[in-house]
Amino acid sequence: MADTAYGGGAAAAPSVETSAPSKDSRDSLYSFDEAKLELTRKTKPWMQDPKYFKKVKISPSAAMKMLMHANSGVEKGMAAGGKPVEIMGMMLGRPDTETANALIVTDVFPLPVEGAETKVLADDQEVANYMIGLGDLLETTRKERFMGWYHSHPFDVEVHSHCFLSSTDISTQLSWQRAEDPHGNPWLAIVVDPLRSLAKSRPEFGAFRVYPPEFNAPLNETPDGKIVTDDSQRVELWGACWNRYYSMEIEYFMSSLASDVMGILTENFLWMRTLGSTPILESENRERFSERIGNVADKVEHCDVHMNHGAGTSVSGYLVADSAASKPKEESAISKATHGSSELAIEHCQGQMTQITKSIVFGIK
Amino acid sequence: MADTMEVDAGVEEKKGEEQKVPATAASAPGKKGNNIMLHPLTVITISDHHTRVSTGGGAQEAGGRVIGLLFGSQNGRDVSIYDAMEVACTAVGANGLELNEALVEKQKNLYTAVYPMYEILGWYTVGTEVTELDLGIQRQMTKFNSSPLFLLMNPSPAQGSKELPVLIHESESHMLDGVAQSTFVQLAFQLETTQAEQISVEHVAKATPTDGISSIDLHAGAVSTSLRTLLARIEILRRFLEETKKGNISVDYPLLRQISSICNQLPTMDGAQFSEEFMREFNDSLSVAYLASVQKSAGSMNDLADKFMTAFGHRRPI
Ligand SMILES: [Zn+2]
Repeated sequence: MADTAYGGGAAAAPSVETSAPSKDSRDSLYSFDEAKLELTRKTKPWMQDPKYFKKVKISPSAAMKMLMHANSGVEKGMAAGGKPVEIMGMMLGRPDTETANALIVTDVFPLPVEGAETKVLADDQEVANYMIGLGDLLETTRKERFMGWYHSHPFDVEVHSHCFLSSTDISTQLSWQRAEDPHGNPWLAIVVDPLRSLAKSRPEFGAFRVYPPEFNAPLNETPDGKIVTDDSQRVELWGACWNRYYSMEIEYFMSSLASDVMGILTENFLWMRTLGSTPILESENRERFSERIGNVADKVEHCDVHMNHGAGTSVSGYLVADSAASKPKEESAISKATHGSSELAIEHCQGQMTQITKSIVFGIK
Repeated sequence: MADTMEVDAGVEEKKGEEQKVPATAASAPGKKGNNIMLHPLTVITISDHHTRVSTGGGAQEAGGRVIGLLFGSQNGRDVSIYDAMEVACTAVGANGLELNEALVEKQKNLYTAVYPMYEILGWYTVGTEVTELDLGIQRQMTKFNSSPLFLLMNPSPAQGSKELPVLIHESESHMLDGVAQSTFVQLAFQLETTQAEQISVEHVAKATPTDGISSIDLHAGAVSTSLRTLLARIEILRRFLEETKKGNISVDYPLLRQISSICNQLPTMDGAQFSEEFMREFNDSLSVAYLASVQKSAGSMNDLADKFMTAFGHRRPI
């Protein structure tokens, strides 16, 4: 619902082009009823339910800024001849007053922090000062406050995404949740996987909240709500503390103006991008390609070893593992390898589709 | 790696304003003749800012003026506008407005602490035409950039419009009856996207559920749309060439030269070395696809064998 009540005192000169109150429903998330938000902040429904929030709504500029910031860390690290650099920043937003169980991220602000395993902010006086300065400046333009943090996991492209919380991330997030949640400001953590985003041509974000230590997490439930009994699998996907946090669904929202502009952008300019670029040919993806093939090969080999050394029984010529205990592990190893090789194949099919199209259209035959 | 794309009609410099004016002490080195590159993030950020202000979601009163800074880099003749940042202004008199220079300075310091390679390139506002007020703010901006760019975004682009509702200007000083006068001059610009930007634009723009649709299908769709757009553009050029040949329109030599240079680039796409590399890549991809399907079959076979064992495993094979 567009709230136009604040517009009362607008004393804009006739000569000045003003932004007329917008009534488009797409714009509803850009404003909010302050009284209603105050009430939500007082009621604090998230204090009763550790899994209260189910969804995170992200604005297009916030999504773009996070991905570009994460990518600048990758480029910076590579340019210096080393590993990609981890980055972090703050998010601006609020709990959604119109839909229960949702958080809204309207904007993000990068912090001058980088390095491996981003450390807790408060340690660094310089960063603390930066945040105070940023907060002061934002008070002149925004009504919302900091409601979370994002950081990047620029690790090599693997079968799965690197959007998870490490144990350091969990203690950072927990101390923030403890400080902010009770004061009506539920705190959010977002993790960006920039290398996978580039390889997959889609933004890879994970949105998380941490359980308070006294909460008994459901048995064998991983952050995505699945029941996984194989310990190596859940640790690989979600880190050592896989049962201390949960992930939320991510949704994007866009204002009417932004979607008009995006429409023009995609229709008129991005077609050149589709024909002009082929992600499999980008040097970053090329360099990692053999490594990823190697990863899949390792996984396949692991299956082999397992099948040969397990107490296998030959059934009509097929070699099948017999021991019940080793079964889940073996299954997941094979499906992991299958998943990894399919992903590589799909990336290459798409790339070759573009390449062949271009060869037919532009080549002289 | 960034791609550039020429923005179509509508942003050409106004021919009438190109006459040379004797430089005065006040006139700054112009950006004309530079390649101005605009990134989508800037446009999206300004859209968000506009919507926030117009719906009353910002700290300003609803319907207030939308003003902010443009950040980016300038290397030689290449000027890239990467990002935009909202900045609060101070009201002056009944309907005047000026930049709060302390806040601009603060914003600049915060921004460059994270992105030291970027600087303030200019400022933006939202509206349908340039006003007197804009010249005042432009003058203030010269404290932060010797020749600030001024980006004006139209908040209500015409339905079905194919042009980005953005105009980029710089100011020029003219001597009129011995008095220095500033005017805005429109500059041509190109749109530039980084891969990270493209990914977010494409993904957020078509934030439609894609569950159950193969990503290969989606890609094929994108390729086919792109080809159709390319065809439409080529058709325009072809008509232009035909009309030129018939003498129905005046000859545009620079444009003809550009078309000719593009056509000259096409043969380099072939060549024996290229085909060999191309085929090698293609065969590599085929191998990957083949191995992946073998792997997938093996996986399915394993699943089947497991199921078989679960169902009949207690029986020993005869
Ligand atoms: Zn982390």
